[in-house]
Amino acid sequence: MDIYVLKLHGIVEGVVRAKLVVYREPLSFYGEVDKNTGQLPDGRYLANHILVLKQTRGSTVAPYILYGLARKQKAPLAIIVTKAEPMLIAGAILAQIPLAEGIPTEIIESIHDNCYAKATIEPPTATIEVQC
Amino acid sequence: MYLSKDEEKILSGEEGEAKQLALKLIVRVGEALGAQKLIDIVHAHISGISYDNIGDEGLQLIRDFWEKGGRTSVFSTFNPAGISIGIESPLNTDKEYVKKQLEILKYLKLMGFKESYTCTPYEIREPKPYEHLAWGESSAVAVANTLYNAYTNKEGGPLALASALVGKTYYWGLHLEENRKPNILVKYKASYKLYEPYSGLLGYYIGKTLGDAIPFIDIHFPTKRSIIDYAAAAASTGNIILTKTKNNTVGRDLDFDYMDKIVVDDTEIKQVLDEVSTATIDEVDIFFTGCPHKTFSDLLNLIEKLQILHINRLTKPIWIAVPGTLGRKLKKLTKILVEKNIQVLPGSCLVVSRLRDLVNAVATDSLKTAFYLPRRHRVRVAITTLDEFIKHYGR
Repeated sequence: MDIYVLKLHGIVEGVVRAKLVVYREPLSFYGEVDKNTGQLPDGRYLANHILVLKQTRGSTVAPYILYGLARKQKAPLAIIVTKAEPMLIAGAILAQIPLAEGIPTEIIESIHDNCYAKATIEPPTATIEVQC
Repeated sequence: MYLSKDEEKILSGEEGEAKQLALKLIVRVGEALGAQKLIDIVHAHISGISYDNIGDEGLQLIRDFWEKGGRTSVFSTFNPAGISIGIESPLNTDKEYVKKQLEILKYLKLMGFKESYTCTPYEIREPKPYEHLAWGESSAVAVANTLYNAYTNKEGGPLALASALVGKTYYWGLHLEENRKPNILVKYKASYKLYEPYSGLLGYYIGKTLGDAIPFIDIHFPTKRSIIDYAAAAASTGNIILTKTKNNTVGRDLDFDYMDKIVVDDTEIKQVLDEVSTATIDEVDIFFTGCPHKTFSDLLNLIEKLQILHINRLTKPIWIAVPGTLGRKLKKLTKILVEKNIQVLPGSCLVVSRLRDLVNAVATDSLKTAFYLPRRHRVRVAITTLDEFIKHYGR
């Protein structure tokens, strides 16, 4: 079993333990994530998972999409990104989705959907323990 | 983040729950990005008000701000809606949808937003150089920074709404002079003059190729509209929200030796044209112009053009999107518009509306439209000029 303990920059607080969805392309919540079901372009679902990705593409509508997904309980339980952009930050704050940034891209390459993580986010710090 | 005493008061809830929530959102985003303080703004403009885009949850969020006592504290405007304002339109179909859209607009007006319904807020209030704004609509942000040298980042819908309520934004990004320097030189060597649709084609290429940069393009754009079309396209295909050009920069102040360079030739422009053209002019159902919105003068010029050319009627219609404030003014033109087969969309546009089943293929001079229609509505696109379309379908 591989274990990674990551010290990241915490942005939105929360403690979450869940299976990962690792997405390797830049993601736009507007247009690419189904706003009713939380389904990704490749068919996977965000609900009940921690979403790990490098970056989001920021449409100005994205915060509403995240907020809407959270109210329908279709949003990810937490989001871990390499670099957070303002639209993602605003959406995560509004939707109260725990958010941390700074995960190295080489870690994203070596983890996958069968990994579990415990994210303890207490801004400005965050500890992410990943078990694969 | 440093906060003034007044800002501390808002944050503690002394000025009501809506302002508290709004400032909390701005401060938290600002802190996450490393902003040191807040800055006063003179104009907030919000995107994300189309019911088709934001749904019931967006409506709920806007209603929550109103119910918690939210009122604008600076001049504030909002984007086009998913329905036409003031006159009948082919877009207004589903009653429930129209009802929800009107509800969103009602809460915005109750909060003190000016009834604007446009993606061109600079036509309502021209920004002055160095003014700080909090605007959402990406094309308007790019025009504010590029054409007017006003200072704004691209704000997500709820953030620009929050800024409208407190009159402030976080002091970060393009609000700081040192972040507004160009970092790549674009040499424009193509033979096309930058009128429609070529300024848009250039924008499409720049956004797609550079993604996230502040380019300096070594040309003068010939008209205000050519800058608007360029900026709207570059802000759609990429995150280009400030471009320096010979219109707004004195070249000798820039140190080009340290910049990366790219060259745009006829090949690059043709490459974009090939990429976005998925229909021919014979296959289209309509011509669409007005993304970003056209003005009332543009509409009068179009009517005059048809009259001068002795065109009684277009066999396929021209749809033109204009600000929603023109609704009443347009009523006087109803007869001639029907006669010529021109459909006006006041306060709306094709990108944010429900287009399904209405059209299969659209001719347009807007590259922003050409970017979004296939993605949002699976509609095919032909790039033509208005003149070409009139020549083809005028009788």
